[in-house]
Amino acid sequence: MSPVFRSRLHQTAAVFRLEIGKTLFSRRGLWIYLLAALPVVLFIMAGIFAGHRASERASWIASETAARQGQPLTAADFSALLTGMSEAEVRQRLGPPADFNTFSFPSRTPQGRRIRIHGLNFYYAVPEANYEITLLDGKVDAIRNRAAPGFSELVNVFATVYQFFMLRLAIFFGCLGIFMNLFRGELLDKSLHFYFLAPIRREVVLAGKFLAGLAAAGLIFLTSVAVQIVVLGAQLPPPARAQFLSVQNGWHQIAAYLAITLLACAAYGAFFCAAGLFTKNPILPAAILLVWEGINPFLPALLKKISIIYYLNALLPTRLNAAPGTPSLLSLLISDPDALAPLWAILGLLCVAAVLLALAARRVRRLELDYTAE
Amino acid sequence: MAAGIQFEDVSKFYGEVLGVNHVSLDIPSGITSLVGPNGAGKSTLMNLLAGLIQPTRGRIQVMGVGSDDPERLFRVVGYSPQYDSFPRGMRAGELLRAHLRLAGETENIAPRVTAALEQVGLAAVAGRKLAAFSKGMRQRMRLALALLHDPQVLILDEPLNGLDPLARAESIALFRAFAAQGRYLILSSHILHDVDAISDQLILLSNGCVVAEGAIQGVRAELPDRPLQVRIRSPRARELAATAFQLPGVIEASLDARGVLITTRDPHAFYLALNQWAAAGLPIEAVQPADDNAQAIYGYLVEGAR
Repeated sequence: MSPVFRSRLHQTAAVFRLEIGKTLFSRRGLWIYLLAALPVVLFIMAGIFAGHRASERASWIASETAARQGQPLTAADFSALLTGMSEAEVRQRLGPPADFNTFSFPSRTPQGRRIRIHGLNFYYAVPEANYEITLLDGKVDAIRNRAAPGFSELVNVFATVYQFFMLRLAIFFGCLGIFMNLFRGELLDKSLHFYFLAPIRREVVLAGKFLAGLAAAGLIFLTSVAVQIVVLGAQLPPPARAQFLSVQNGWHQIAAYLAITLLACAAYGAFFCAAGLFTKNPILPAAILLVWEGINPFLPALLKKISIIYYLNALLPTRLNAAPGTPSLLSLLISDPDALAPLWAILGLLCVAAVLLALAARRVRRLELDYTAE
Repeated sequence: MAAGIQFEDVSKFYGEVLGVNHVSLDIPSGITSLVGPNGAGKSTLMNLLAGLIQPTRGRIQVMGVGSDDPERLFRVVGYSPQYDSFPRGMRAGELLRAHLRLAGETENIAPRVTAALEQVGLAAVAGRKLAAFSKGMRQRMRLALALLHDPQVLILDEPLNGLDPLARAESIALFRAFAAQGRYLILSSHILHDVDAISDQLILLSNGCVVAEGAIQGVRAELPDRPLQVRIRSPRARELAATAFQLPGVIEASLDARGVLITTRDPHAFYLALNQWAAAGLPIEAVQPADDNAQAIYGYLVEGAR
């Protein structure tokens, strides 16, 4: 290693050391932690709710089984139910419900006479689902089941939150807050001259600051994603969790989400780092990029490639499918018909980040320090 | 390494606004003061020298290094700018250590930091947060930063602002010791008395242009159209004033507690006559030029031109 290169490595490390503390513990950046913690909090709340339902289900199953002399209910028992059956038939086939409630509502006969309809909801459970049987005037009117969340459902929930909240909002705005301030914040504090009056190439200052921003953003958002995965995984019964990890390529999916998070931080970070050097107002470039990324699915193929979200979407391990009946424009947002091979997507992201950093380096080299203009 | 500091036809415009215009300078070693009213271009000239801004036209070389090469430039230059802020949350010693690490230094950091803090009288507060520093302490901290890597060229923007009399005297002694080693010290000051006291050379700026440059006496000598003021101390001051006023060229002779202040348009004839009076027995204790100082030159060239 040449002495010059070694010296520049030391210098980059010195900038990194100065910046990482500032970036991680800045009061200005508190909202970024809140943004990263939000899905974790939501998943924890959902987990608590799911846990409550699971224990409720277990107690229902126990009481039903006891009432049926040790014979547990199965999904097939509910498939055999038909609308129009009487309450007595239901009780005969399924036994007494684990829980029930009554209700009534006003209605009219075909002749227009006012009547009051009395209803009952019977609640049963099997290990895979909760059942709700609605009886109106003593006849079965509807049978609904609410399946206990399995890993495929949780994977979809996570994928949706990741794609639409983490990527498009949390990481996007988090990187805005972290990287835009690397230079802009010091221009506003009038302390950038500390770097510019030292015997160090400005490109090295940029490299050190960018790496510190990337480490901070990576730490915050990788931790958030990892904790989200752990919280969701904890909601699965151990056999389902083991099946997801071993059979469903779970480790690969987790690694992919973590890698995408880091790549997203690098690419959005490079954009906002450059934007902080070229513009005084962060709102304008952020708004332009947000709109550009938002309309990306509707752009022609060539323009799509000039974005970040295009490459990130191509790397997502879970493809979300639009529900039947979703408007076509919205379904375009949900599923990407022109998915790119992962290797090309990674190369594309790295190229976008490299181009943005090269522009930033060119700018920082020519940057004139004039605090009065800020 | 090429010696000296050269500005070659340097101009700097901020859009339509003039910073400095057609500045060509060759600054020798010693203490050089930049003097001029607010907006004259002093800070612009210093920022150009330190590469914080780049010239619109022309070229700047400091010890053979271009001002656009900070990595090499700040190995030979230390700059204490007027910006009164430091990175947030840092302590004095910590800031200096960080500065050395930024320079790629890995060895002897602690003794160098201690030496720099001792040089500016801040060794006792090395562990104190910079946010708690007074204006004078921050001023000295900036000086410590500029001196930390033992530069050949020291650029100081208003370095005596905010200092108490003792710190001021210590700083001036430090500047003199620095310049006495054949190094370059360029400073700006609004306090012309300080400029007189410490400068070897003067660069007078007005409206972005260099109005005069050189040693103070030399600059004064280049203003022959300005009447010369001479202060003479004599026990027969009243008689001296009356006699002098008879001379052609003398336009004013006034008395004050320090003697007679004579203003003449013909210094040669005046000094000739003064010799004759002395030979004739008029007691003369001291003769001292009264306007070859920065204050007077500033008055003639800047205020007089307004």
